[in-house]
Amino acid sequence: MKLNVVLVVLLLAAGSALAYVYYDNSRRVDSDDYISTLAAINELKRADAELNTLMLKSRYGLQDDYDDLANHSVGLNKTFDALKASAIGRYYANDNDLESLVDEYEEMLNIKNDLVENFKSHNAVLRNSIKYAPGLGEQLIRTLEAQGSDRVEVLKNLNQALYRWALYTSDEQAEIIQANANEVLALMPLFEDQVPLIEYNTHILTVVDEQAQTQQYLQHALDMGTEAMLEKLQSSYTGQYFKRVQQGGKLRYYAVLYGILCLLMALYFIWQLRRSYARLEDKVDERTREINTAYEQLKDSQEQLVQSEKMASLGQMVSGIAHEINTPLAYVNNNVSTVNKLFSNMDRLMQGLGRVYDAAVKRPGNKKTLAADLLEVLRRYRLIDREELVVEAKELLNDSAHGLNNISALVGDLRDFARLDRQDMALFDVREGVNTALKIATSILREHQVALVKEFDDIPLIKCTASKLNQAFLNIITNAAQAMGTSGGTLTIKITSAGDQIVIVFADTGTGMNEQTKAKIFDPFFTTKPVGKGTGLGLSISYTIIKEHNGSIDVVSTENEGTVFTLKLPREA
Amino acid sequence: MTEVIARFCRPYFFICGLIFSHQAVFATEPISPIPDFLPHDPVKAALGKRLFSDVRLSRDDTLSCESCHFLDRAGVDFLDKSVGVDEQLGKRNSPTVFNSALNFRQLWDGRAETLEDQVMMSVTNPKVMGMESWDAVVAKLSAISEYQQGFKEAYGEPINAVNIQHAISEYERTLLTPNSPFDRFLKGDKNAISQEAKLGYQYFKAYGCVSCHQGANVGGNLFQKMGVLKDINLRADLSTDLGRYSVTGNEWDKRVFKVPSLRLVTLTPPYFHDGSVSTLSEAIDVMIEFQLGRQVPPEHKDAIIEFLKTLPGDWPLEAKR
Repeated sequence: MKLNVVLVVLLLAAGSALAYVYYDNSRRVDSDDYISTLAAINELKRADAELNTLMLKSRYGLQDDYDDLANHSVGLNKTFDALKASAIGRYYANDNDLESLVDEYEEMLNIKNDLVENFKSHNAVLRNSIKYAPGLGEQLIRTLEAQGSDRVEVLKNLNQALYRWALYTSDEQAEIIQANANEVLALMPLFEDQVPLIEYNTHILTVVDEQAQTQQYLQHALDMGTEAMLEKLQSSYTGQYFKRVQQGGKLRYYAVLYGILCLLMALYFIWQLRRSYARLEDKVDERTREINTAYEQLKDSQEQLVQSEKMASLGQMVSGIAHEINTPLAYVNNNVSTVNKLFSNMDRLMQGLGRVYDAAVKRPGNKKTLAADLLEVLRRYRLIDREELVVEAKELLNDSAHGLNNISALVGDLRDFARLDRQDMALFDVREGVNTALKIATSILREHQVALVKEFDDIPLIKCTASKLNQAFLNIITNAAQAMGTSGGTLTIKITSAGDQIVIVFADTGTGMNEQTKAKIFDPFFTTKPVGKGTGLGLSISYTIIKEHNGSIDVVSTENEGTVFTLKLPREA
Repeated sequence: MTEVIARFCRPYFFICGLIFSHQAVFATEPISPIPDFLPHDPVKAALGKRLFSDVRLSRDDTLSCESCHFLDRAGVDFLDKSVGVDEQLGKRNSPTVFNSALNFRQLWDGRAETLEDQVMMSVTNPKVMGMESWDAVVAKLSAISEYQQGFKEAYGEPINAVNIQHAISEYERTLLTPNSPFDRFLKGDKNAISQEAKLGYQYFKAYGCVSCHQGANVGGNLFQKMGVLKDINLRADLSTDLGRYSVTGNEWDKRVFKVPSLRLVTLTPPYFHDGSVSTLSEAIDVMIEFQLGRQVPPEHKDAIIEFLKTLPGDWPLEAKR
């Protein structure tokens, strides 16, 4: 059992760990995320390239305002924010490679922002001077040409270099400009108004200076490698993504393994369950057998008890009946012995007559002796009192016959009660049953000085087992008699018919029962009598009998007033 | 190897492409018209409008955004430097709120990247509106049932710092001045501006003003150093503020400022970051001297001023000059 719990816990732990890893992994391999992240990187590349284009446009004078550049600069930063909010920022924050690439790019972006701003500022100045200076140069050249000065070549070279440089930047032009710029101020004595020359000088120097700076910022911005960086970021992310996808495949493989493991575990548990079920069944069978045995034993002992109750009842009954039989038996006995005595006197007389007859046959001549003997016998006959002998014997025999009739009736009642000839269901008069039971209980009723009141209505016959009902009636009557002690009382028995039922009421004026006793009187083995006097089965058996007949048995009892048993029996049990 | 060559060649391919693109063939104007409107949510903007003029956004309930940006006076206060809570003098001149949504950054030194940033900074700036913190602002506004309701309707969420800043910015995005005479001129109405203004525009381009003052907002889209062609230290007043340097710490950024928009320049004196120059004429002189490094005849300058006068457009309904 403990092993099972450990196994289940381990399985659950493994399952949840697998599920977490799978979830963690799967949210990183969401294809929508992947696509939107790639889109963000591509958008960043596009915005970066666009920014580069706009810088070049500004640098070469193809775009005169910085609105586009400024907006794109803002846009680029917003796009980067979008990238950070994408799957890269959300799920790969712990990925050192990607994180450092993103950080690196962010640093680049910040530098680029500064470069762009610086480029704009310097480019504005540069473009101003580069536009203005050549025109101013032309003006100065015309002034010198009007003077016919040969120094005009300095300005011409310079201006030509400026024009060229306006178109394309080259170190060669820069050197020419630088070299000639130093000579410009030397031309001052040639001019009446020297301010334009000073301005020209300032602007040329500005061009050289700003050109260098603008170019530097632009070049730096273009050559930062932001695109390569983004490519790197993209390939790194793609690599990571597909690594995750691969991992997802592996995880699915593990999930399948886990599923198989779960299945095996389930099978193991089913096997175990079956085994314990079989064991349980065996145990149940064993218990059932034990219970059956116990039940049989109980039934046996109950039968024994019932038997002993029967024997006890029988004993009571027999002692009562013995008493009833004893009285007629005694005088029949007495009469018979008296008759016996009378007949032995007669016998002696008859023997005398016989002797006289024998002598007469042997010696017919001895008449004298014969006459004397005959006279002697007749005298003795007179002495016997013929009247007494015959009349008394007749009376005694009549008396004895009456006694024997009494005994015969009693035995008949006994047979009626037992109804040994009527064990099966048959139509039966309940009143007869009650009367029989009363007769059987005669001695006990007399013993307890019970006065009987019988109120029997005309009732129909009912179908029942007579012997059983008689037993129930006898039990109730006996209990009633016993409840009335020795001081006497009245037992009222009413038999009425109510609809399909026969109602038999036994009301005694005995001691009654309290509620506690009343609640238990139908329980087997419950008795209020001293140990050995009752089995406690009497009323229980009565209850069972009435139930067998689909009847009911109710008891109402008031202490010191009496108990009323009401039996209801259906006509058709 | 090929990669190296490709990378080396790429810029040149670009240039070739650019030169033959139509933009190279038809020269474009450096200034473009102001858009009629910027995308915005009218409900949020309406909420922002209420906030814009609500003095409860300041510590002592004395100042609102409008205290420095009068909507009926071209969005400025005409002071050299604006006055914050407790009569404190600010460091710089308040620029107009009109068309500020077209600027690439906000504030003179560009330290606010967005309008929202600008709101965030100004409300809790001790010298401006002086609120202790944004938590305090949120707590203060949350106690006002009108705003509770308003924010719930506009944002579907309780009042917080982000949506307060957004609402005000959303309103500011409606404060544009499109359809100016010059914009109509750019769109093809040749008679929208006077001859002198047209001449002024040519001078504006020819003298190089347009190098920095270009785009829809005629500026406001790049940083520039004060004194690129002449040492600004010659003007003690204009040289003390180090501008963007205070933000970036880069040496080059000393005295670098955001190039201001010239859209309402004729209506919003005084000029420059410290408001030290009170007339437009004088301001143009400073620019010519220090930024352009050349001389401009007075009549050319007058023409340029005529041109600048054609830049303001229509005002939003609730705002006037």
